[in-house]
Amino acid sequence: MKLLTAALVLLVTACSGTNADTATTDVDENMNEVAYASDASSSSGTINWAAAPSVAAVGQIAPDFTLTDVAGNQHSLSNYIADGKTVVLEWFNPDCPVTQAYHKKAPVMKSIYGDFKDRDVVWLAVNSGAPGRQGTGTDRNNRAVTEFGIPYPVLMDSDGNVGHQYAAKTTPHRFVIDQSGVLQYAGGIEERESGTNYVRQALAEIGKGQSCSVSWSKPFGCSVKYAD
Amino acid sequence: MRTGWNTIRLTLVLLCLSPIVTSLQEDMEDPSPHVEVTLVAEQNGVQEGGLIWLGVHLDIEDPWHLYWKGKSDTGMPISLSLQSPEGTELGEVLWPAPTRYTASKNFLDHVYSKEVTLLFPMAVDPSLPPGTDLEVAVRHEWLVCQKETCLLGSGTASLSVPILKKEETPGWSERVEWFRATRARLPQTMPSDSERREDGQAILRRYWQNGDLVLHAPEASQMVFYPHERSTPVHDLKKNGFARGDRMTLSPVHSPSVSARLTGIIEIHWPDNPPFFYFLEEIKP
Repeated sequence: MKLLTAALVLLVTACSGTNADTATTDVDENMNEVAYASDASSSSGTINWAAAPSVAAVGQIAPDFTLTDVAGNQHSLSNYIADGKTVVLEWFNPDCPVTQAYHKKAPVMKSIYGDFKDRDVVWLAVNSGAPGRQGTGTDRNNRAVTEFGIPYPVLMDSDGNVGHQYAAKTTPHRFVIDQSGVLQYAGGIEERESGTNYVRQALAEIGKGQSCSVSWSKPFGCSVKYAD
Repeated sequence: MRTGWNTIRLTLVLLCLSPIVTSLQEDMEDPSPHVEVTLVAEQNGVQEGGLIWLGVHLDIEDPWHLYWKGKSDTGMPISLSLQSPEGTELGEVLWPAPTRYTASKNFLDHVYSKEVTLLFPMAVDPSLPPGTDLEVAVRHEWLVCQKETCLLGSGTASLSVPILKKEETPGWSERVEWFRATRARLPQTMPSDSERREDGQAILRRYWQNGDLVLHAPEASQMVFYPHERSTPVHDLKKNGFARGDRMTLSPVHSPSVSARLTGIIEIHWPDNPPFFYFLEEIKP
């Protein structure tokens, strides 16, 4: 049992040891604990979603959620994980210029999505804006899907509960959850100074069963428009 | 006096102080919304083989703000890519202390509003002759925000700096006040505990207590902590990074694998004095 537990710890902590910006800390401001997920999976190997922390933490089981997209379809994280998918979450606001830039001028998300969609990777955009705030509402987000040519679902989280569970701060802010349901990367899509694309890197490394070389980076962009 | 001077047209050397890899801004009617950017010199020229301070001045329309390079919950720091001719060397860009901005209960940002000048030195090789002009340029990109709205902006600014003979003393430029304003908010090296102000009070005591860093500046009326990007995060920075009074307690986020290392700028207000800014770097024993 000890060996199994140790193996699970190694498995779930494989991608969670490195910070893009520093070698001296491996935690984000809202990630109070890191890489100690020995209770993340049960000894039978099934995922214990109840073990997820109240606020997502790299190296631990990601908080499960069910949200409805702008087309009226429901999406559940645990269902995708049960189907063996790796899940990318992208916080979204169609009226944020940084979001627009990464969808229109430098359509990085679409490019990565295209490269990984046939490799058991699911990409979900999430809008946690409160009603009446910038970029919110099903109509506006439906139009954005067409306007930006977004090939993946845009989920509405109007009460912001899922956004707060993930401590999503900016649009865009990305999270990569592996097939074990463990959050392996949180942060920006790329390093602005070097151009290194952390999401692409994380997906490639997870796909190869390798450790993530970067598990956290500073997100940048507009604030998520939560209710005040 | 400058008649007849030849402008040096040397290959520009890209100095990647904070390079912009991919411009995110879309083609817009106004590429620099709510912000006017100029490249300025502190003096009217640089002596041959000498050094001059230059500045990127960002004039920000009220109530918009730009973002510091340290920790913020949201936004995007100002990004600069500087170019100067061969034979010159640019130093590190100095960022003055920002101010706290809390647009909502959810976020704390560190920002610049109204105006800010980011300073950097340029050293000139003695081989470059007097009577020539040095062309310096900056490409800039930033996210300017107010409460609900953000806009991307970008552009370039340039400046011509004449090389003077050694016997010529350069005068102060019209923009010298911008440099003085920035220097007034640049962090200084922290004095040791044993150093004291003229009135005999210890300037700032620092010690770890129950895993927290305690900062005690006797008689101070206000203290603010601006964490560097590489600092270990602090619990509830929005609440604990600001203190009325002479004591501040910073609780680093627990990480069993790595020692806590708090780095950033401490701003201290003592009555009847302008604010003091110090570098803070404390490693938990």
